[in-house]
Amino acid sequence: MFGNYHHVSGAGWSLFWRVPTFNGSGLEIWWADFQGHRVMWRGSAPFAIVPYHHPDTNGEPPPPHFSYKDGLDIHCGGAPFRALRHGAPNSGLPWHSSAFDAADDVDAVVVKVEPADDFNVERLTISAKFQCGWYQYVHSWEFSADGSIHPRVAMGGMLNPNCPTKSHLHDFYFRIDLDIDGQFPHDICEVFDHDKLNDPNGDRWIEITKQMKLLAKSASARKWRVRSTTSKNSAGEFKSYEIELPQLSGLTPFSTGDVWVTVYRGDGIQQGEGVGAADCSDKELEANYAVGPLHPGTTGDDIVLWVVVRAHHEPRTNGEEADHLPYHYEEFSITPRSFARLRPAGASDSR
Amino acid sequence: MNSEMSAATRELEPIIVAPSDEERRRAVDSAVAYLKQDLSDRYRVLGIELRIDKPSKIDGQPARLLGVFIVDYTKRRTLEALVDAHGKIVSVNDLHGFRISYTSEELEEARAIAAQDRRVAHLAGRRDVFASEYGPESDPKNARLVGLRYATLRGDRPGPVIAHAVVDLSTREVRSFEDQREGKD
Repeated sequence: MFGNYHHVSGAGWSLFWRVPTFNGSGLEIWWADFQGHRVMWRGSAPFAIVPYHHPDTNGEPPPPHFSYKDGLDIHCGGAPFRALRHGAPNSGLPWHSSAFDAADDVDAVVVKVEPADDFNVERLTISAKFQCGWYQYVHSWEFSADGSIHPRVAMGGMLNPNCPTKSHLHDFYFRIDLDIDGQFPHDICEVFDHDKLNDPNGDRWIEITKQMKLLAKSASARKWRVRSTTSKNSAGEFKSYEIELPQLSGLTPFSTGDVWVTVYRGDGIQQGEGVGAADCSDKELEANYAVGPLHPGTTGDDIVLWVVVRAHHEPRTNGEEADHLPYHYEEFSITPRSFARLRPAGASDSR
Repeated sequence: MNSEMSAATRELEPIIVAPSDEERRRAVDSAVAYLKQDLSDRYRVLGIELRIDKPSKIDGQPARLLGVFIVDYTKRRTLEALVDAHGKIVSVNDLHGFRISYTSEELEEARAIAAQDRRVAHLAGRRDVFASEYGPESDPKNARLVGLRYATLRGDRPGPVIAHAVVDLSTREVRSFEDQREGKD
């Protein structure tokens, strides 16, 4: 059975995971709480956009766009995320054989709690792999005892059999619904830029006043945060979580932004996942979803972010990727600020 | 009690438990009965999903709803009926062009329809060829289209995709067929 919520805990976290009933959208995380406080209502990675160098693709992906829309609401030759059972091989086999399909959700999802050691804090990780045409995608969410979340995705399977030498990009879209301390709809979204080394005033946070598309900028260490306007820590600082997005590739006509700030409009299936039907691009996120005012100066809002993790793949066709694609991970971070009290492992807790 | 779980999540626990078979059956029966006047005789219940939206007020409780997804092939509509715990219809949403993932029954039907088409039959019968699904271009009239790509097998290893067929489940025919191999059409 798919579509049920399963509770797990560890590393200071409590959360539920779900693989939806309908093949397509992958692994979802619901109601993630850290140290007894709500951090995230829901996190998911329901679709990917994969544009290829073209035009000589031998029909895969097809013209005129040469770009797949995978996951939920597939278009342009894209394929759904089909849950594989734990242990399915990383190869082309699960593409043509249903023998590796997960019979139910617990057959697909692996939960691990890794203890702290000299180099890492305790971690709770929830992972599952999905077949998508000849590709495999791993969805993995790591929740650390330092309060941080690392949503990750890996690419595996095999190279496009019709154009195995053609470079392409994988654009993975995450929908992140942070609810800082559960105080929705009283959060605001802000953007950070480092400007100069002057102290003070070398760095700045600026409130975002309307729903919009946002761009990464490594030159200014750009990041974003969702900050409560009502919930403070013991030092009197507003609690927040920051999004740090180290992009390894730039924009294309199909993947046109890095982050979109929107507001909660429900958890139905048409909250942005349906982009790409017309032209295999994400443009509808800006045109249809990241539209309308925000209210940072008054009530705040129930902020929902779309975040893209992007990777350019130059195939190693006759070398390391000739047989299969070793899993290659990309990730971003969701990091607390003024949210949690942390102590070294083994220290007494005097909360 | 889990000390890491927030009070808000603890209150959710009874709401998010897996629906029983009886609850599922009741939801489907209610949705079909409610929509009966609007459905043609060619519809299929694609599946059911527990739907938990945030409450409208911060101290409120989310409603426990079941989403029943129904595709009407003749009328070219995909509908989501939201049903409460008592089987009462809360709302019906027309998903317009949104393509809910194909069910295994739909894929079987699409493969069978394709296999009857003379252009596809020679591929469908080959042991060294397999078919897998993809999402074709949208249909302006919202027909439920299933893309099938036919790829070769060399032993256990998949080879190139050699043909694409688009099956229209609304008309039960192959809408288009393309053979990637040179000189074939």
